[in-house]
Parts: sequence; C-alpha cells; structure tokens
Amino acid sequence: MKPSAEKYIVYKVGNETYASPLLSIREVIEYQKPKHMPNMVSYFTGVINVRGVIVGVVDLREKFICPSEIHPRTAMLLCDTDRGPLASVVDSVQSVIELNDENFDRNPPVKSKVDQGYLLGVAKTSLGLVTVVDIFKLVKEEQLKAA
Amino acid sequence: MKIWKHLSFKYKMTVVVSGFLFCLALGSVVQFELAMSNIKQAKVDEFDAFSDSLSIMIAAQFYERYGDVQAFAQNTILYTGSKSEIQSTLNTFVSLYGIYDLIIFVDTKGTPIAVNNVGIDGKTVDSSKVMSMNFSEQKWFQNALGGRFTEDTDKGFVGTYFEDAMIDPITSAVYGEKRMGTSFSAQVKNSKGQLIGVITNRANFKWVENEALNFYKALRANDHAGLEMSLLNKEGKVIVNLEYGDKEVPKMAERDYDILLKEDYFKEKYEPALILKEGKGGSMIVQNQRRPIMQGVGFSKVQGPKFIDSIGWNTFVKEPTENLFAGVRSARILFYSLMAGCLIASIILMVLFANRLTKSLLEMVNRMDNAFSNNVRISNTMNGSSISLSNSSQEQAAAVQQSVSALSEISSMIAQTGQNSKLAISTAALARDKAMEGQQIMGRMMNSMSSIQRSNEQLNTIKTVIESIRLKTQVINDIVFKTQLLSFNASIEAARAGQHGRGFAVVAEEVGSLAQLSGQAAKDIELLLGDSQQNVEETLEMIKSRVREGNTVSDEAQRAFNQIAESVEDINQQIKMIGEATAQQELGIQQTNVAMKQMDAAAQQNSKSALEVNNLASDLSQQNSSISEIMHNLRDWVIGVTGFAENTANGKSKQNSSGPSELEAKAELSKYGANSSEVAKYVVKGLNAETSKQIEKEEVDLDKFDRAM
Repeated sequence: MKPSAEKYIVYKVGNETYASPLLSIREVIEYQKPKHMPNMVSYFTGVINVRGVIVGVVDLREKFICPSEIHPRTAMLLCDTDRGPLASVVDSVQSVIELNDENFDRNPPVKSKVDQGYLLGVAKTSLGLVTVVDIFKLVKEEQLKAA
Repeated sequence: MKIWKHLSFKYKMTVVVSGFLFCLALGSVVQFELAMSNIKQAKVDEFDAFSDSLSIMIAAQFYERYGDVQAFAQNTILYTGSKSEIQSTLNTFVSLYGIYDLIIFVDTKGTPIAVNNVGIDGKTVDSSKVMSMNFSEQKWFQNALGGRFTEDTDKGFVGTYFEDAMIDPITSAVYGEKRMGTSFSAQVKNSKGQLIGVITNRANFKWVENEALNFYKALRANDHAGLEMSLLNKEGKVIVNLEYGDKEVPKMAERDYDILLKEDYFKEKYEPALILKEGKGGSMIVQNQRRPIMQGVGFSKVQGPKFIDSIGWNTFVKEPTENLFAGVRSARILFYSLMAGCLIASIILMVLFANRLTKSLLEMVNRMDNAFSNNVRISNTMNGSSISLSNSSQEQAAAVQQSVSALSEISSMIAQTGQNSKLAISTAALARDKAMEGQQIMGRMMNSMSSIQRSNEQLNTIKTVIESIRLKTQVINDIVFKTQLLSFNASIEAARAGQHGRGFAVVAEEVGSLAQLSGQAAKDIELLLGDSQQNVEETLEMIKSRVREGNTVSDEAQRAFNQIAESVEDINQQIKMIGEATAQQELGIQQTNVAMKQMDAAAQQNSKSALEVNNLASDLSQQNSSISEIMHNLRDWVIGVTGFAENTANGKSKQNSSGPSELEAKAELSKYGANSSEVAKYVVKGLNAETSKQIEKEEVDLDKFDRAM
C-alpha cells in the first residue's frame, strides 16, 4: 500500500462525521459507563477498565458541544497518548476508509468547530464530506489545557 | 202663638209651670181658707153645743128643784109634827140639799108655821125675822094657794109655783144682804087632802150658778182662755154672769149686781139675744155687748123636757175670737209661709231644671244630629252595598253555572284520563318486556365480547412471539455491532501489522461487510417485525378498544335497560297513583258539584237578601228624614224658631251631608273585594256598630236625662 492511501476510521460525533487515522487508534470498544472522577474537566467523564487496564474517558461529544446520548451504537476509541491510554466516546463508528490525495484535501478553507491544530483536512467520501482530525492533538491539547 | 213659638223652652216651661203652680197655690189657698173657715165655723158651732149643754144642765137642776118643793110638801111631818120637828126637818132639808137659803112652811093665811134656822153654810139663820112676816100678799103665796102654778102639763111639770131669778126679798131680809135666787112654792095637803098651807123653797141662785161654774171649769180645763158664760131671763136681763174681766180668774165667785138684773141684752141690741128673742138658738161671731172684742158666742134657750120653756131663760157661752181662732191664725201663718217658701223653691228649682233640661236636650239633639248623618251615610252605603250585593250574587250565579259546566268537562276529561292510564299501563308493560328482551340481547352480546376478548388474548401470544423475535433480532444487532467493532479492531491491528497485516486487513474488511450485511438483514427483519408488530398492536388495540367499546356500550345498554325497567316500574306506580287520584278527583268533582249547587242556591238567597236590604235601606232613609224633621222641630221648640233666646255654642247644627254616592259605596265595597258575603258582613257590621254605638249613647243620655229629672 502507498503511504498516501492511508486508512482512516470514520466516526460520527453528534451530526458531524469525522475521520481519524486508523493507526492513531489502538482499539475500538463498546461503550462502558465510566467511573466518575471528581474535580475533572467537564468532558473528562471518568475512567474505565479495559482488560485490567485503567483508561481515562473523554467525551468528544461534550467537547464538540453535542448532545451526549448513550445508544447502542455508541463506541469508544482507545488511543495511546503520552500520558497513557485514553478512550474517546463517539456516537458511532461508521467504517474504515482509505484516503488518498484525491479525496483528501489537507488545507481546506473551512471553518469548523474544531481548532485548526487538530484539523487535518477534509475528505470526500461516499458518506459526504468528512472532517479529518488528529485525535492525539485533539486530546493532548486538551490535556495540556486541562493541566 | 207666634210669640210663643219664638220663646225658648226654658221660658215656656217657666211660664207653664209657674201658671200651674199658681193655680195649685190658688186652689190650696182656697181650700185652706175654706177649711179654716170651716174650722172656725166648727169652733163657733161648738159653742152652740156648749150653750145647749149648759141649758140642759140648768134644766136638769130645775127639774129637780121643781120636784123638791113638792117632795117637801108631801112630808107628813108638816101636819103631824110639831113646829120644832118641822123646823128640824126643814133644817135637814137645807143641809141636805145645800141650795135652799130658806124653806118656809106657811099656813093658808100666809102666816109662817115653820122655817129653817140653819143655813146652807151651817150657820144659824135668824128665823124670827121670817116668822114675823106675813106672806099673804106675796104673789107666790097667793098663786100657790090658789093653785095657779108654773106648769107645763105636757112635760109633767105640775104643782109648783116658780119665781124667776130675783133678789129674793125674804132671804135678803133674813140674811141681811142681797141674795139672789129663785123660789119654788107648792101646796101642802094633809092626809085627808085638805089644803093646809104652802111650802116655799127660797133657792139660792147658786143652784144655777154652780152648774155654770162646773161647766165653766170643765171647759177651761180644755183651754178656752177668755171663756165667758151668762144666763138671761125672759126679759133679757143677765141673771148669771161669768165674765173674764181683768183678772185671770173670771169674776164669777162674786155676783156683780151692777150687771145682774140690770144689763139688758135685748136693750143693747145684742144680736144673739135678739135671735133668742125670736125663739132660736145658735152660734155666731159677734162683738161683746159691752166690750169692743169679737167673741164666738153660743146661745140657746133653756128648754127641754126638764124645763118649763115659758120661763124663757137663755144661756150664753162666749170666747174671744182671738183665743178661739188662735190655732187657725197660727195655722194660717204656717200655711202661707210654707206655701210661699215652696213656691219660691219650686220656681227656682224649676228654672234650674229647665236650664239643665234645655242643655241636655240640645246636647241630645246634636248627638242625634250626628247619629242621623251617620245613619244617612250608612243607609246610603247600605243602598249601594245592597245593589252591589245583588249584582255580585247574579255574577256569582253565572259563575256557578260556568263552574258547573267546567266541572262536567273536567269529569269527562277525568274519565278519559282513566282510559289513557289503562293504555299507558299496557304500553308500559310492553316497554318493560322489550327492555327485558334487550337486556337478554345485551347479555348475549356480552358473552360474544368476552369470547372476543379471549381471542384477543391469543392474539397477544402473537405479539409476544414477535417480541421475542425482536429480542432475538436485537441480539443479532448486537452481534453485528460487536462484529463491526471486531472488524475495526481487526483493521487497526492489520494496519499496525503493516505489511504482514494486509491479508488480515482483507479478512477484516470482509468481516466488516458481512457484519454490515447481517446488520442490514437484521434491520430489515426488524423493520418487517416492526410493521407486523405495529399491525398486530394496532389490531390488538383496535379489538381491545372495540371490545372495550362494546363492553361500555353493553354496560350502558344494560344500565339503560335497567333504567327503562325501573322507569317502567315507576310509570306503573305513577299510573296506579294516577288511577287513585283520578278516582279521588271523581269524588271531588261530585262533591264540588254538590257545592256548586249549594252555592247557586246561596247566590239566589243573596240576591233576595240584597233586595230586602235595599228595601230596608230605603225605609231607613225615610225614617231618617222623619227623624231629621223631628229633630229640627225639637230644636226649634227648645230654642225658639229664630233661636234668639238660648242658642248656645253647642246648638249650631251640622250641615247634613247627603251621604256617599253609589260610586263611593262601590269603591268602599271594592275594598272588600266582590265577595258578597264579605260585603254583607261589612254592611251589617257597620250598621250594627254604628247603631249599637248610637243606641249606647242614647241610653247613656237617657240615663243622664232621667237622673236629671
């Protein structure tokens, strides 16, 4: 495979479809109700136990200011950050796609809810336009901000 | 008479009563005077009786004395006795009889044989003087001897010669003083009847005077102050004189010889004496023969069976009229003063009374006036109300008729109601049967419903089956999801693995697409299931709801039928009640009918009564007018026609109101409605109240009036 034809995982948060590089994600798991931790940032909703490992949970929906509902399709994206594994709650995982330069615009003149730092670009998929974000940065920055 | 009309009652009454009183007084006075003069006459006439009594007393004495001398003359001692014996006998006689001053027995030659020597008073009498006298010349001797006696053979006076009252010379000579007396002389015969002499009784006139004195005393015992008595001889000379004189005790004890045998009543033209001269006695009021006082005098001749009338003595009993009529005078004074007092008192009382009476009368008249106007008003009202009553009665009768016809209508309607009720009952019975049928049907429907319900439940099982399918679908979905996740995770691992994981990546993809297919299928199933479930649900719901509806409907129907049944029962009950009520109504109608008939009769009666009342009212009107007339007459009479004398403030008469018109009467009556009985009651009550009030008033007035009288 060509490195430009990367695999991205497409997921939805609220009504918006996002994509993130597949490699940034370690695992996709079902939603687990996080154990609440006091005095945390609002979108840090707690911790969960994944096969014996404690993982912090971040609710992207809350971050992206969407309604946070729990439904059967709700999933968590596990990613390893320098601070440890972190789970991001998304509304649904759609599919895995391959993106190449044809359908992936890395510098779109768009305004989106997500800061440009995170924004990797916009992809043209069969599902429509998808915002490609770097989940690490998204989470990391937030963690920094949180600290 | 014209003036009479103008005078007030008071004056009239004063005049009339005064006149009456005056006549009464006059009559009384006349009667009184008559009575008084009768009394006087009686008193005077008494004196006639007195003088007659005196005459009789004197006569009686005379009779005795006449006989005495003969009794003496027949005493045998006169021819058998000696002189002294004869004398003592004579003395005995003198003392016995007490009136003979001397009894002298004289022989035929006139020579005294014997004489008493003891006088009346028991004192000795000088008889020698007598013995020395010769009496042959004396008249008495000659007459006695000659048998020429003072006689009245008819009365039996025979054999005595009587010398009338005189101053007896013999006794005067013997007693040495004037002695008045009479003598009785009789013949003395011896046993052989030969005349031997004459005996003469020289009687002191006290034999007469004593009688007069006794009588006088007797009369004086019964008052008769100033009483006088006298005796006259034939020539009218006074022989006894009991006179009042200056002393209280009349001069009788002494003989006043200035009067005795000197005063001549005849000469002095003393009327009684003159009448006596004509031979009649009597009594009269006449002035005293010597003194200027009026006396009641009774005078009579001394006559009778015991007296020789020819002696011609006359008695007089006199009393001054002053004494005689003293009682009369005092009676007269008393009478006249009483009469005057009574007259004055009567007049005063009468005037007062007339005043009072006038006032009372006027008051009464005024009140009657009021009563009259009230009566007028009442009678007019009565008129009006009776007319109203009549009309009302007629109206009433008409109304009754209407009522009767209405009642008959009602009656027929009631009958109809009865029939209708019966119909209603049968209809109700039908309804109830139908209701019961309906109930049964409903029951059946309920059964169907419940069977439907049961089918419904079976349908439920379908639902559950679908549900379980659904659940399974869920599981499938879950599996699909997990598979998807797995595929993603596989992709991730494949990506991580890089080169080595390419094959795995394909597998992952395939797995992913499988999952998607499954997922799609599951979705389709779900959709289908969803539809089916929805259908089933809807059907179930529909059936349920239909069943529910059916249930509710049947419930309602049940209830309705129940209600119908109940209502039918109620209807039945009510119809029964209607039936009862109808029966009662019938009764009621009958009773009302009867009542109507009675009312009709009553209305007729009312009509009649109204007419009667009308008549009475007009009568009353007439009476009122006559009363009015009478009242005015009375007033005129009491106060005079122009009323100028005594028209007091109360006397002004009220103007007679002409009474209410019929309209007013009707208006009054309308207050009491057209109810005829009420009208009648009102009329009668009003009339009665007024009348009784008036009557009471009148009664009170009459009482006052009576008491005033």
